[in-house]
Amino acid sequence: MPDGPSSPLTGIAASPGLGVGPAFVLLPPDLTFETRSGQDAAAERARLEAALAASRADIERIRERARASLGDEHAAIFDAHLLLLSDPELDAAITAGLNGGLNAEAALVGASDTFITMFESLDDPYLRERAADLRDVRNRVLAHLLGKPLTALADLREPAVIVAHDLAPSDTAQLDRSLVRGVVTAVGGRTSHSAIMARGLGLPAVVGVGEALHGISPGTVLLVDGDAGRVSVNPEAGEVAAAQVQMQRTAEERARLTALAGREGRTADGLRVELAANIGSPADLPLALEAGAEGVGLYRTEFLYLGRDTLPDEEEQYRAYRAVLEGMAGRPVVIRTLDVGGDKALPALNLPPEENPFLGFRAIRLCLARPDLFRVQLRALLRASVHGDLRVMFPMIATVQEFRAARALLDEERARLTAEGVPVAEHIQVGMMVEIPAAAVLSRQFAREADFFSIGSNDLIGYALAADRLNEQVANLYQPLNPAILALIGQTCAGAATQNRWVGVCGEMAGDPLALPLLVGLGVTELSMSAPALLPRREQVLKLDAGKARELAAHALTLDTAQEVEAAVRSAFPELAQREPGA
Amino acid sequence: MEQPSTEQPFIVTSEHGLHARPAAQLVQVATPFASAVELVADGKAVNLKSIMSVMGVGLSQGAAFSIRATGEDAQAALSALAARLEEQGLARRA
Repeated sequence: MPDGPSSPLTGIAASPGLGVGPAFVLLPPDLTFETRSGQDAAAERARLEAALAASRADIERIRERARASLGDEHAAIFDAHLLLLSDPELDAAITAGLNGGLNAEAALVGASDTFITMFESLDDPYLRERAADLRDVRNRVLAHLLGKPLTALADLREPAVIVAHDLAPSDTAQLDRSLVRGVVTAVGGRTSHSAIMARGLGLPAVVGVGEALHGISPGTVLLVDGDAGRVSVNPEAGEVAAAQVQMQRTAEERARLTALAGREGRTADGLRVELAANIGSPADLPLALEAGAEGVGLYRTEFLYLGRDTLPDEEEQYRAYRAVLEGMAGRPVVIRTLDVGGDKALPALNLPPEENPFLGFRAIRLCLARPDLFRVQLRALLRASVHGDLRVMFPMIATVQEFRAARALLDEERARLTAEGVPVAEHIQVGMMVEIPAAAVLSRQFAREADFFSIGSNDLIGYALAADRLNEQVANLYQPLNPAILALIGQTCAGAATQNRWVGVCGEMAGDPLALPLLVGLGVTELSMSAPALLPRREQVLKLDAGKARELAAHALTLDTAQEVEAAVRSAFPELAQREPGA
Repeated sequence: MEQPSTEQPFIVTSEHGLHARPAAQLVQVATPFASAVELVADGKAVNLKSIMSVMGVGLSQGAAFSIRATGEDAQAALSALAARLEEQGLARRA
């Protein structure tokens, strides 16, 4: 790698922000070796023992690191790795190879691959994970035999940019956030584990950079731009200086806003507006809490189901829900039941492709048709309910019957658990997403059934204006501030008010500074958004005059176009003209 | 030299059966003991100190199996394993 700047790498912008530092390369070393026969068994045995001892020391170190940063549960995987290292059957198979004159590398790989192949051939996800563990352990021992010890994130001692093919959960378990300046991976998309983890930790990340990443040597200075999806290799001093000024500014702004994190969401004239976080897994909680989340307004449970071939069982789901409820320590947690289909396919269900998936078999429609699957989730939710303030939310409700049917299943599972002697919280709010225009229009009727509404603005806008924002030809029709959308939101709030139900917004509109005064003015009292938006929106709420917001909203409903609404918002709140950095 | 050997029959009580995942926990219980410890089912014995061999275990609810320990601390190993099986609702002594 030359020292001068080389052309930047481009990938997918997975987590915003800028970061600069030397590359810490986690790419696996070349582990090819030669198989030799007629070797001295005792000498090869000694080499193997040394490699095993070094591997054991590595794993113990990684385990202690994981235990310190993430707790015993995450460290347990490394106990399993240690058991594999000292397994008597594996040792017997290796010994047979050594006694047959093989070199230690060939004996190790031959013996472990027999087991790996056997586990992988069985139709049990647990065994397939163990095959991955065994491969991991085998590679570590092999690397020591070849004198190319594996780097591990636990070895990170200095600030750096992590460069990896992809990050596995066991990698991120070892990650010291305070030292990581950015993450760059060769594969993955916005919903890959690496991307979700980076957003959860607030680390700038670019993923899916491709094979070009394999040319990066350890220590090469990288500048990661997580907004542009760009990585500069050996950047010019001027570029680094400009990035540092920008990072400094972002940090100062952040420090100023962080001081507001503990303040209750309340407008200047005293209206309570709860500021909550959208999360995809318990791993997102620390950042949400740091940003002062007063609750979780949307926990997307589909991340438990996506990216795997099997369905999560009740116990796995229960643990995840419980972790979030306990993490929020009594603050409200809205957990949305499975929302797949449409753009989110579920490999385990093997559903046939549809002509028109957004108008098709998805979310609650799928769950009601597959009660076997739905009941598992409902039971896990009910069991978790005793650990905090759980609120259950059904997605994609179009008709009153659907809501009743979903609620009936929940009630049945509650009765079953109670009969089994399993404790369930006495009162659990059961609400629904308002994302289908029909639900907004019929909100008075729905308000008699549902305890709350949460407006999924992304889908509501898409369905109401019949425009896919990802389709460039029609994206201009995807208009959050269109008076028709505001009217649907206003109607939802008016219907809710007849039964004293609360209304939240959990789509991207909740984090949009221009939409905020309109939403509050229309009667929305909970805004749920991604963690990075929480602090700037809290500042905005604290300064907001709700009376003025109501006047603005009433006026906006009389306007003709989204452009007129935007102009009205900007004229009522001139300070919104500036975009805040890093939002 | 004759080693003390002891064997205890069990019946699987877990509705999910006794498969790889719960069986793997038994390895951690068995490993610290000096005795040889085996799980015997359908006339086949697997080494309960080997996570590799235990992986192949697949017993349904109601299936019979036994655990055999051979060595100085055979009785203690067997008690520890029986306690773990019962605590976890996996099996009961037959």
